[in-house]
Amino acid sequence: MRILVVDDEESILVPLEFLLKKAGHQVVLARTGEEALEALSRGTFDLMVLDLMLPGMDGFAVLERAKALSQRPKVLVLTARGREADRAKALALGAEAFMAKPFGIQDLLSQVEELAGGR
Amino acid sequence: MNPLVLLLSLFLYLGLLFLVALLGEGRWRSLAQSPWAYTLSLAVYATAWTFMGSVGWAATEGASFLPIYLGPTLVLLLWPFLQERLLSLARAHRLTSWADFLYLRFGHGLLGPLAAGFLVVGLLPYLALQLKAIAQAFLFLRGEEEPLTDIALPTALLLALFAILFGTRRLDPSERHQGLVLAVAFESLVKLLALLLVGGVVLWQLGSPFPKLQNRPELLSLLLPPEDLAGYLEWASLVLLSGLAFLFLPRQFHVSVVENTDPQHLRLAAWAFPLYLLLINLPVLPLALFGRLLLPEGNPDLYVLALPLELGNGPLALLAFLGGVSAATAMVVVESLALSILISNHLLSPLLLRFRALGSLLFWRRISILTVMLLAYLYFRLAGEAYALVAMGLISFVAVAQLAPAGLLGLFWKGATPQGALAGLLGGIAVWAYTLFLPALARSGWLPPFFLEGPHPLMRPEGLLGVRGLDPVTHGFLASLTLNLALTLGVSLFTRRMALQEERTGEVEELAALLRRVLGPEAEESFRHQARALPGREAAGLAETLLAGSVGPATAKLLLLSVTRAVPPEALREEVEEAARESRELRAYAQALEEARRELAEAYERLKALDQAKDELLAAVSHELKTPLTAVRALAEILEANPDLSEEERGRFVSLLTKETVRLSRLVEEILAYTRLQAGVPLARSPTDLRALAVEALALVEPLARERGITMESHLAEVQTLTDRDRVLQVLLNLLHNALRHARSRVRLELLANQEALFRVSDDGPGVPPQARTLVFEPFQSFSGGTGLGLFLARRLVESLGGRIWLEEGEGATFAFTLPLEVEHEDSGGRR
Repeated sequence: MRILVVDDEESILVPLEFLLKKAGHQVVLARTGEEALEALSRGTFDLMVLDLMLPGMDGFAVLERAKALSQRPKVLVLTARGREADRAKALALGAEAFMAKPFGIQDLLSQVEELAGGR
Repeated sequence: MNPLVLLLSLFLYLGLLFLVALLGEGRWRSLAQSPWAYTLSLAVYATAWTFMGSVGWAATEGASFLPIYLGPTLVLLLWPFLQERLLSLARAHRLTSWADFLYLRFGHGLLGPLAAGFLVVGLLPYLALQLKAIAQAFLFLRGEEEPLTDIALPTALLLALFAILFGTRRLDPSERHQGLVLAVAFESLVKLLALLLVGGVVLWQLGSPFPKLQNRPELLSLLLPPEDLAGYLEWASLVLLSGLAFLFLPRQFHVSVVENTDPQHLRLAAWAFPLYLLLINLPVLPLALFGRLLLPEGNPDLYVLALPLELGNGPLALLAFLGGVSAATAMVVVESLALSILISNHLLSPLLLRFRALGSLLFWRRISILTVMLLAYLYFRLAGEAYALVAMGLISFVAVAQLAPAGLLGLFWKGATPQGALAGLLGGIAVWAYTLFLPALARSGWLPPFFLEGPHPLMRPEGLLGVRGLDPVTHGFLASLTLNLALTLGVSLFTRRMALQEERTGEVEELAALLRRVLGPEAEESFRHQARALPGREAAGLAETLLAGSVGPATAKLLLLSVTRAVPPEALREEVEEAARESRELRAYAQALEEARRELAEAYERLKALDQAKDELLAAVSHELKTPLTAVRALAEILEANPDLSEEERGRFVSLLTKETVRLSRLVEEILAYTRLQAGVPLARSPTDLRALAVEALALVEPLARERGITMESHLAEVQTLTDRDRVLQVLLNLLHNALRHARSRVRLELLANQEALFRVSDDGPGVPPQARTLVFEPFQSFSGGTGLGLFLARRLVESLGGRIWLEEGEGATFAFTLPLEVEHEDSGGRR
């Protein structure tokens, strides 16, 4: 499965990349919303793991743009802001799943597997 | 005599009068204000009745005409006591008549109108008498006696015009009318000189009359004093009556009080006026005797004219005529003016106020002059030769004297009450009407003879209680004045003295506006000028005085009601002040309560905001904590679950772990600093080397810079100051972390020293977006994933140290802050 991970924090990207690769996925990293859109336009992904708090273009904007793509990946939203409003907004914009930080590795991996299995 | 010459000289004389009045208003103003003019104007007392009637009286009744002039002479002796008091009262309260005084003194609403109305009724016949004198003299000189052709009507109209022109220029009748005064003084001079000349010429041509009396015993008796009690009583009562009339006649009040420009004038008047009366009476007896000797068939009242004609001296007769005219016109003008003021101030202005037409008061005053004049003329035409006119001079005097008990007791006796004054006046008027006025009308045939006889012998109008032998005037005068005085005294003794008249107070502004409405801008101006420094009570009093002078006291009081409020009498004042003080205290207490309530509300709002800020802080902090915590947890789990990691990977994860824990501890530091700041922990100031501090801060952020590949530059001057080093370090770290987070390749720290220490931290990042520039120092306004506390904390810390922090314009972002340069005081250092 091709997975795009979008987060501005090095300390989040590194362990996620390690774990997802170890689980047998192809992983592409993006540090900003712009980078994420560029990656999406260059290739297709099955899943996008998206942090909402990004410098510049934020996660919601990326979600909105991604909706317009012909082949849209499923989206797992990650956020430190566990607020209901954010969750509802993300789901309304087409995100498939929502996880609040801090999360455990196993939870994340099982969520990813679930989304992959639902395909 | 040629009637044309007569007419011409009459109108020439009247024209001269207008001229003199005009000059008095203009060039001769100072003359009009001289004591001599004042003294001569007092001689308005001597009317045509004096000029011609005295001789007639002397010719029939003998020397009993003299008391008429003795009374005023005696009154003048009392002037120092009476007139000065009256003058100061009149000046203070702008009195225009005795009716004003009665209203002012007693405050009874009925007294003013009653006195005014009564005076008008009582004095109209007296005015008519003057017109008759002019008409009669004119006819006599023409050589006719019947009918009375109307020389009186044009004269009356001209005099009304004169009074209107020179007496009602302004609304305020208490203003002086110099033209009028000068004209009256001039007339007094004319009539004196005329009578003296007539007497002198007659005496010079005919010699002394007295030797010729030897064989005329009936004439001799004219020179003898009265023989019986009734005669003495008549004398005494005439002295008293004329004295009172001199005081209370409206025209006398007008010339002696209203027109008085200087109380010092009284000194001259006190001797010069009696002298005037003496001089004008000198020719009376000789003329009367010669009249009786030479003209036994003639009308004694016309001897003054007839004797010069008898001597064949036409010009002298003309002069005598003009003297009579001058005596009559002066009286008519001043009396009609005084009566019109009485009418307008006491009878008309309350009506006009009710019909909201007070503005037309001056117009109505002029109308009343004309009306009074026409009524007098009408009375003269109707009464003709009737007794009602002939005897009216003294009957009018008696009417006027009815004001005396209330007036004099009001002036000198505190115990006089309004009820007493009213009872006295009403009683006096009733007796006057019953004993004098109605019988006079009955005698003229206008009323049935019943009014001469009365319902019972004891009630005979001209002999109450069966008294006989007194002449009607003396009888009526004594009866009415006795009852009047008795009632005034008695009722006053048996009625409670009213508390002092209610005082009122008001605002100068409102009073001034009222004055402007009623009296015009000039009055307002002068009021403002005078009332500037006065308390409300006195300002209200002043306004009332100004108004009273123009519209009458009763109307003034009514007008003031709208813009003033009552001042409580002395007894209540203390309680009221107490209540006022209490209410003031209560108000202050309520104010304090309100203040406290507001402070509480503000404190509550502050706390609420603080609480909200705490919530936001918690949310922000928890958000900031969650990212590193997530990383730490993930990294730790990876390390734990993968013991077979390559050395390279393990090292990478461990260094990430270290970095995140550093970040966590920095976050904790910031939060602690924030709570310390909120709790107001005091400064810990010590001598600090700012350069060393800057180097320390650079060393602390050096690992982060290296990791991000950012070059640190610095330019640090040597600066020492007294400050809290930990706080300065915190600020520096916050700014440097902020800069490192945004910089592309370079961060620069500068330290400069001028009047104060200046730190500047700049980066080559994208800079602060314009819409965020004003918000960067507000809490929880993160634009870059920081806590949102860094810059807010920096600002609060810098401000707590006495410095300023700001965002500079330019490429990238440049934050600068200052610190005051201070040195430790030696003494405080010594104590440590």
